[in-house]
Amino acid sequence: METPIGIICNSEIKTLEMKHLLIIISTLVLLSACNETFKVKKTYSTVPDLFPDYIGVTIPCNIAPLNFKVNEDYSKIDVVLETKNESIHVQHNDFANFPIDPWRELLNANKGDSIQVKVSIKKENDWYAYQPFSIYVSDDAIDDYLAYRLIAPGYEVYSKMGIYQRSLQDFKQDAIYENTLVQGSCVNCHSFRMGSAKDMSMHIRGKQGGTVLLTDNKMEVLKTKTVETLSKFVYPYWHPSGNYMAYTLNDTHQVFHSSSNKRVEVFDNASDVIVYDIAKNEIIKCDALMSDSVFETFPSFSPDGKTLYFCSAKTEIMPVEYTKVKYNLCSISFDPQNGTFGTKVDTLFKASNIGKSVTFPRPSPDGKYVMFTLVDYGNFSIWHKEADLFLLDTETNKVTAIDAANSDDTESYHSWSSDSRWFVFSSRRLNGLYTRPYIAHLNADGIVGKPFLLPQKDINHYDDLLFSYNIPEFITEKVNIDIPKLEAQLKGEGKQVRVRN
Amino acid sequence: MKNISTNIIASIIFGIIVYLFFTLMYPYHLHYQEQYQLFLITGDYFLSYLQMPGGFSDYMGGFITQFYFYPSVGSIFIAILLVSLQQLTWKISQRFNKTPLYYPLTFIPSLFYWALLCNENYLPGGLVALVIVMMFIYFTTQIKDGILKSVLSLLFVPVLYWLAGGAVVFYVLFSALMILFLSTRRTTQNIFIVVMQVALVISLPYLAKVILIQYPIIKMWIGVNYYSFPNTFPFYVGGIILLSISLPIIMNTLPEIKSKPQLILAIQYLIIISAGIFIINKSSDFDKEEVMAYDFYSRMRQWDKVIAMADQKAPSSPLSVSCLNLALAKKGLLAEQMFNYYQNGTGGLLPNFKKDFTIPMVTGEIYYQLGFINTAQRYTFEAMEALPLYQKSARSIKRLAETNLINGNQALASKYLKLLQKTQFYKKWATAMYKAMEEPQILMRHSEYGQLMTHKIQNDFFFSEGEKDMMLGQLFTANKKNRLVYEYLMAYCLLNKDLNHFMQYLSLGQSIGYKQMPQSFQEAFIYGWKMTPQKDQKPIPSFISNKKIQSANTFLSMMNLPNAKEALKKDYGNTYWYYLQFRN
Repeated sequence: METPIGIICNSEIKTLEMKHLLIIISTLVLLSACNETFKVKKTYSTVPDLFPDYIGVTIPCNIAPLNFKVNEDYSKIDVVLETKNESIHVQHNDFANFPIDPWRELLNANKGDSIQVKVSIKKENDWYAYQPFSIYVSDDAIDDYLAYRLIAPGYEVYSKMGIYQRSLQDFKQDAIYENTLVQGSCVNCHSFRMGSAKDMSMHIRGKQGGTVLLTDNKMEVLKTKTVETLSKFVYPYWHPSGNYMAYTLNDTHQVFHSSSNKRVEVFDNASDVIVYDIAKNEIIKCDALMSDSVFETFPSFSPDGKTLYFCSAKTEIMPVEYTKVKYNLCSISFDPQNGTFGTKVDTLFKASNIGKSVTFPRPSPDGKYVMFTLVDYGNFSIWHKEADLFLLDTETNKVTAIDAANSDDTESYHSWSSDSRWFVFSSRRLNGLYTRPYIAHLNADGIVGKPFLLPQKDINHYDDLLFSYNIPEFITEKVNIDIPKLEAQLKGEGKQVRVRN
Repeated sequence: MKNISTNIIASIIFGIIVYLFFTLMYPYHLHYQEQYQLFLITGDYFLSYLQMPGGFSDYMGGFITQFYFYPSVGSIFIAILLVSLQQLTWKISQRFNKTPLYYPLTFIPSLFYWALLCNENYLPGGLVALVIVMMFIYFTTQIKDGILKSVLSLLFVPVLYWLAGGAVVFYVLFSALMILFLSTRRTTQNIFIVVMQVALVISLPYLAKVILIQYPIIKMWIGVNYYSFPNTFPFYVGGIILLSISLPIIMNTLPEIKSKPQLILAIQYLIIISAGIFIINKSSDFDKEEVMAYDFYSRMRQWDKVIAMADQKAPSSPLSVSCLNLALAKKGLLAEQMFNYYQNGTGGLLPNFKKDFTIPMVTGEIYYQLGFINTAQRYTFEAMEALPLYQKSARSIKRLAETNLINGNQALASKYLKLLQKTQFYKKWATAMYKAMEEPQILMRHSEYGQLMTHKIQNDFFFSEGEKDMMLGQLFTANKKNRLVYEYLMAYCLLNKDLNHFMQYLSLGQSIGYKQMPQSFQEAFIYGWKMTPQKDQKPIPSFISNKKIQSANTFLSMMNLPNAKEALKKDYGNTYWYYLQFRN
């Protein structure tokens, strides 16, 4: 049976403002002017196999267009996005490329509803249609920007890298810092206070380096190695007040696997957690976080700032017994007024009891959950294929796997949006190596929607890109670093941090 | 007319000599450069270059470099560029003085740049930038004085800055020199234009830095990647550009000699040719060319050619020796013949990892052939990441595709293959591999991939750079018929002068099924046996020939002679005993 597909203009558009209506109509007219009208030769009984897989995903009402292609050879693709009141129709040779303004209008008009997507492809001279599928548009908007590091997933040597910010409402990406500025430098561990772009920490390693701390847009470069501490500052987390930062101190090494299913093993020979008092320029030490018999790592503060979560594992002989290292999820109280710790360490989730290990505990800004990654052993989850995301309910202490987000490959770093409704996580599900950012929705009932790959203007972007997306973090506005000033500060001595007596 | 013809012939001959030099005498330098870039034929790739001042020249340099895949084609581009530079120098000089008397002098800049290109770190993009600057100068000189010339002279500065980077300075310098040396050009309008040009040239890098904020200002000043290492300031290139723009003016000041012009021309050619031979000879590095040739033939699996090269002239650098040892091993000759050639220790068998782009690339080739697929993958990845201009490497990407295919990661292999499909010279291979990937039995039947897939490491262990013999042992234990790995294991012990482990591992070779014990093994065994205290000695086994025992006795008896090293070299230089005693 042949199904005619043409240009769609539905009638009930009253709810839209006239301005929006005009934009949509004019765009549709322009777009449809070049579109080929056709009759479908055959309608498949299945939905299309898309890249990226956007079938049934839940998306924010302010996300950039979800351009996609069908994983088949074709000479043209025809896509109709259809809702109760309006539609967008595109036809392209390579991939479905949606115009941004009509897309925004469509999403805005369909918050809390779904979009029907009808896909047809032209092979030789015939058109074939697939079963339509839905994309769910959430009421919840997403933070405006996503920050991440782009780095080749290498071993010891590194080339070009940088920390970038990408507008989630469109496709624009800007560099926050690129290591082209200081030849041979490495940049890592960017962190923001509750998604604020005004408070940021990142490390620039190399001859001209230091920890760059942006507090309320005021920049300082810190020299963080002291005689009394194990290393320079490593993994960061901001205190919600902006007065403190938790960092780890690590003696990290890596070894290389020989068999085909594994590549690299990164491990700590020693690690501690400290808190840095920004105003006083002091490291606050705590015995419970610096034990010789325990590896402590990955600190994070609760949204009220009164609890410090961290991962803790009994030390083993490294690297010989690397598979025996199992990190548990722990917490200790913290007094932000005096910058002091409690005396008791609570174990919130004893992963070692089930032969597993916890990494990257990240409390949701509303305090309801702590999301973490669970692996078989160790703490460098990005190299663990079994790494999956889990949620701990802070009221019940119940731990559940986030099945909707997990895959057969690595899911590792994750961060929350400022309203706790979205989380972004890095996954290697596409090819087992190049990490890509996926975004998922978590509703008020704790139900997670199907995640979607960060949309790109050019669908070949991920194929061509030889970088991984590392440490994806939501930010609510654009980071504004004075690069010439940073360049000058990096050439200077930097501010040496002290240890509180 | 006659002179013009002679001059054109001279330029053509110059081009042919350049072509023949790079095609016949220096082809492996071209291969070397080609492997360290991944030139994609896509609009995005082109646009990514255009974002930088001088990026166009770099792009054109890369475009030319991709043809180095076939040196006989790549050399054509070098010859054309060098002849173009010479011709432009000549054409510009003609604007001031039409006498062809000093034509030979116009070869000097091209000769110097040819000399620079003999260094593998000088990139053709720099030459492109120079030619572009000369083209703009030539074009400017062709415009008759007037408003148009003034406007274009100003307009060309930003255009040229974007096309050729900081080399635009020389365009402005040429304008200034014209005013200085040519009184007819010294008008208020021209001086004003030069002042404006200078102001533009000074401000452009700072303006560019506003857009390209993530780069240091020095990058905005230089622009083009003249040299592989960005921290090296291209003084030599600057000198040649300065010479190129000054030469027309200098030539204008030379006397116009009317008597015996042919003789003056001949003397000039004689001097230029002699100086050219001297300069090119001094600039060429045929030792490096040799190492690059060894690496090239190893990468192309042309083992016979590697051995033939060594037979002609024994290699001595660790990299070339390691290529030779790999070739011997691949032909099943390592244990038999390795000491027929100079050996420089375990570094000539499995060079140690270094954070650069050359050694890991070559060593990765050995690990790949041995079946250490993860290690080969790591080395090639590291080599690519070590490239100082943030380039990617077609050779590395190809190897990454291969290693991922062997490891069974098709999704990742296809990512790399898709990239190679966007290149000119790897496209065909990538497409063929893409098809093969869909039918695994084709890969399994492949002589190399099939074998490496079969011998894939199953039981995981950490690769240890400091314990290579243990790594080889682990690999051999997994497949005791793998002669290549066994001979590497034994060769490692021999080159490390570790006879204890050699004796320990010798019996493992039973599974290989040697018809006759290889020479080096016999020699090492006899030495080890003779060093064993008599009370612990077992009867010498039958696989050791009597002739070998007698030979060992003679060697040992002469070993303590004062000039033993020299005396024994002739008859025993190709034995393990000699290596053991006299090689460091």
